[in-house]
Amino acid sequence: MKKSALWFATAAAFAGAVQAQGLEVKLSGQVNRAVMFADDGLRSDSFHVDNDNSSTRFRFAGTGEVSPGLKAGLIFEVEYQSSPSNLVTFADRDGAPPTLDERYMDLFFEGGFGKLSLGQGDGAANGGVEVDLSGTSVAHYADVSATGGALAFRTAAGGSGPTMGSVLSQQDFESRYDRARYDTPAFGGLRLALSAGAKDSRDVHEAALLYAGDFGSAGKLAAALGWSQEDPTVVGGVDDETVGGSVSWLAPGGFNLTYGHTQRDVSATREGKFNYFKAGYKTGKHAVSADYALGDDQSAAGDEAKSMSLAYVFTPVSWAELFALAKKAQLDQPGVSYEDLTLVMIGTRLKF
Amino acid sequence: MRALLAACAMALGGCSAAPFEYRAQTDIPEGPGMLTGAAGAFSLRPAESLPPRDSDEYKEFQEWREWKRQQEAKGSTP
Repeated sequence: MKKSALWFATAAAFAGAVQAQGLEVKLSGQVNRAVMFADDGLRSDSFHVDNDNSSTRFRFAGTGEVSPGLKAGLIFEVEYQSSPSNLVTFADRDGAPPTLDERYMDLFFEGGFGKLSLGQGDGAANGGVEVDLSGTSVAHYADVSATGGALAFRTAAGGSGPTMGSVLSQQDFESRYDRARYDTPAFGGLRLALSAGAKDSRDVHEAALLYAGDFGSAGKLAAALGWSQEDPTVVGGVDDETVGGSVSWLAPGGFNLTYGHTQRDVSATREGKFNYFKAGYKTGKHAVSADYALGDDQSAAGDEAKSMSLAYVFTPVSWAELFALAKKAQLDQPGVSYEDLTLVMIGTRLKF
Repeated sequence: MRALLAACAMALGGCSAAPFEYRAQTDIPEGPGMLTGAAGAFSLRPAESLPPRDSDEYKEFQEWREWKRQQEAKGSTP
């Protein structure tokens, strides 16, 4: 059976099963397309991309009451990207042929005890470095390499260096994988999340503290602190351990500030670091922001990568966003001089 | 450092802010959809859980269906 047919059959089975139990299932999704222009100092070209900041996707989601005070639910979400903005290169402007890729296949039970989830879904700390209240995340956020991440830095002589993604990763813990996860109830906006599972045949454990509070005239504050640990790739190797977090503040007038930081044990002797700063302003249908990201020692000791960008998002109706992004990325490596990478992306996300 | 983080967490948990649900803007947006209308999603619902015919929700659906019929009729006029 073709993979896509299998996905649809499974989704239909899910829908049928939950209907039989009296659950309501909802189908929703989005298409997010853009035109991207890139210049690596030696070559420039345009690309028609799927904006990987928030990929084209659809989902089935449903909840129902099992008994008074106990709710059950599911989320089944897949993405389908043609020419993802983080994978296209000058040599391969289409990226790999599109496939239906799993994002969530998750079941949960929720009650006074908190929430227990089982399946493919967010690890406890996933998104911990990406907390962002700016309203411009569809154009740019801590995942700097979501736009142009596969493009390589070039030397003036024509040599190829590391890709932007390998030196400017936000190192956002362990993303999504097959796991069991527990979230405590929120205490004054603060809750603890724990997860354990397997990813790429390796055991993964994660923990996070998550916060979201509205201070009224002092604005809104959202924050996360996370830790993740993945077994080593080889026997006797180093655990892949990441710690970090992020915090975002939105003032009542629309001004906002965001900061994120992670550090990851890349090898026995090297720790990759990532820092992210963002300042923005949103009012009505408009949001603008500027960000600055730093990646240190991620690809090799002594690497120092930077990215600066400006973004604007216009939301004429709640289901449509138009966005524009201009970005410059630089890499300093001991003994090597690389050209800057320049990117411009204009596109739209439509929720259907 | 850990003590400082723990102190910050306790301070945030203990302060008087009203909790809100944080949603990443990179997720599928909440609210109305281009094709799904105000509901924002196509609903797959068991027949027995459809709203009663005298409910506001059912009347709203009937009005929408009538409007849609009129729009389609206009669109098919040469």
